[in-house]
Amino acid sequence: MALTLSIETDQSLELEDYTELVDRELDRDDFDSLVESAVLLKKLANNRRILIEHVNQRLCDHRNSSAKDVGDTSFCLAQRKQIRVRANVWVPPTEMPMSRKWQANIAAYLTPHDHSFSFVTVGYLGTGYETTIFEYDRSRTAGKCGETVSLQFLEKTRLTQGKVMVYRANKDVHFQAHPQEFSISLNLVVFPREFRDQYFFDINRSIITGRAMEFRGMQSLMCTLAGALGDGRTVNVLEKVARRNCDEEVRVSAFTAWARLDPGHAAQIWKMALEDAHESVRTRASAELGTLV
Amino acid sequence: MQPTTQEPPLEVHAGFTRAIDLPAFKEFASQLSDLLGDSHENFWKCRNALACLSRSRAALGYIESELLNGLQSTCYFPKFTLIERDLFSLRLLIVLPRSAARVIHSMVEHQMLAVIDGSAQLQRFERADRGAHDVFNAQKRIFSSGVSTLVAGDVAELWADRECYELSTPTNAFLFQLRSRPLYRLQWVYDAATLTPKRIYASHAEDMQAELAILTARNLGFSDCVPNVRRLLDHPNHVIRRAALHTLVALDPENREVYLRVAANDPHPDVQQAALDPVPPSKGCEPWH
Repeated sequence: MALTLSIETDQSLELEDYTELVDRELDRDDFDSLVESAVLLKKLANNRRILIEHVNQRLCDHRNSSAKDVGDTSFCLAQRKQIRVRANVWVPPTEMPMSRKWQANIAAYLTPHDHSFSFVTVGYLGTGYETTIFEYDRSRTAGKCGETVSLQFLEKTRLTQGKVMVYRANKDVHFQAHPQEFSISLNLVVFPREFRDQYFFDINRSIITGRAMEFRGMQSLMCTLAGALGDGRTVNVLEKVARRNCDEEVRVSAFTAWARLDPGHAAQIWKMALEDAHESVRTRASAELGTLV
Repeated sequence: MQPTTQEPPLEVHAGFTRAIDLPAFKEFASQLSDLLGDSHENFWKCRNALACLSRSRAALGYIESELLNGLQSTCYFPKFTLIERDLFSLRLLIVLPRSAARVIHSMVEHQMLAVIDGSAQLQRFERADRGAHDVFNAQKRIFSSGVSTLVAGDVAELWADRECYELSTPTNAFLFQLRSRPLYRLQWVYDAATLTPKRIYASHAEDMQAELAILTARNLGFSDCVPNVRRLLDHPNHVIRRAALHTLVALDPENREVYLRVAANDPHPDVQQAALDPVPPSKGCEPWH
């Protein structure tokens, strides 16, 4: 389960020393190594001046804020290779100025979700947010919207000041409640080497309701556009995508757009799709061929 | 943790062809740079260039390029913002059939919409009261100023602050959306059913970041930040000035009276009000372990 670590230390670290130690000691592919590194984040959180330089810099140079910062609720403190150190700010709705755009962020953290990366987090300031945690077995999940997933309840807890937790990539599912007071958490995020999906869940119905970072949907939309606007040259491009794109959902979209653009050869196109390596493409091809008969 | 923090592996976007690499968009960007000069007032002069672009094969060339980019990566994210310059930006807009929006946003920049393919209903709204843009007033409703149908080749001009719009379509419609540089720092949000304002918010990313820094400085009790927060007292966005005043009163109580006078003399009523607001105390940054 997501781990709550009991770490007692009075030592503190400067940000540069912390990132250097993480660089040197963390094995990015080893979850246990991430857990072992948690004591370093705790020491970083013991440094109560850690944010001052960053905040001052932002106040001085707010016109050039870092693109790495997430929306208007987070500071990116450091980034090395595939790790990132962040300070996330949690503001109770009652203290939130109406002028803030961050309502979108609220909707996101209230919605049950997993993460495509593992991370260690420590409560830095305030009583923090309450979080309800479940787990699921990613290896038994196809990742389709509406798919039923077995979600096991683990715990309801709060990321209070000084508490250290570690979340497992694509295993832990959680949603947060609004913080009761202004709070800050520090995170060490370890991005995976390969792209992984992040899902949103409906806990009551035990289903996947959506995927974040929908590159498939965006590529499929491009296929739709190509199917609507395309000409002879576009047919060649769609054929390449239908045959060679590594994602089966995008290939289905490409076959669909290709058949739309070249209706005289639709039967041949869908017969080609019957040779696709993925079952979902072949199933769709059979269905399309059925309608053409 | 906020789920919006997920990002693709860092190397994903390296080395792909972007719109600006394509001759049609390179030429368009160059044309607009000439037309706009140093002034956003020339924005409307770009109409013909945009109309020509929408009638050309440029959009299709870009889509093909993005589809081929997708073959180079397991998780390629196509871009729908095609060009971003200081004085303008160009986006590819896809309008899909969907239920009516619940809110309508004001525009912080002038816009032109050019239909590439399909047709779309353009519902325009106007502000009934063209008073101060940055003073929220729940009575300042917008009203419908007409519906028109845009088809391929049509270009619609939309004025920042004065107008809002909604697009709908029974099928799919594809458009170019040309935006001037932002002319306002605050965006109004209206209830689509009643057309009444719900709230305004800071639309500039840098303003949001500045406000976050101010809030953080106050809550952590960083009195070292006072000189930098003071500099924001003449920020063009009153939201930032107000947050700065709250923070200065909390972090530098010895000069409270000075800050209250600054607040009282500010031209914006919300900042004047800041002089009367109770300021939440900072939590401080003392060791807690």
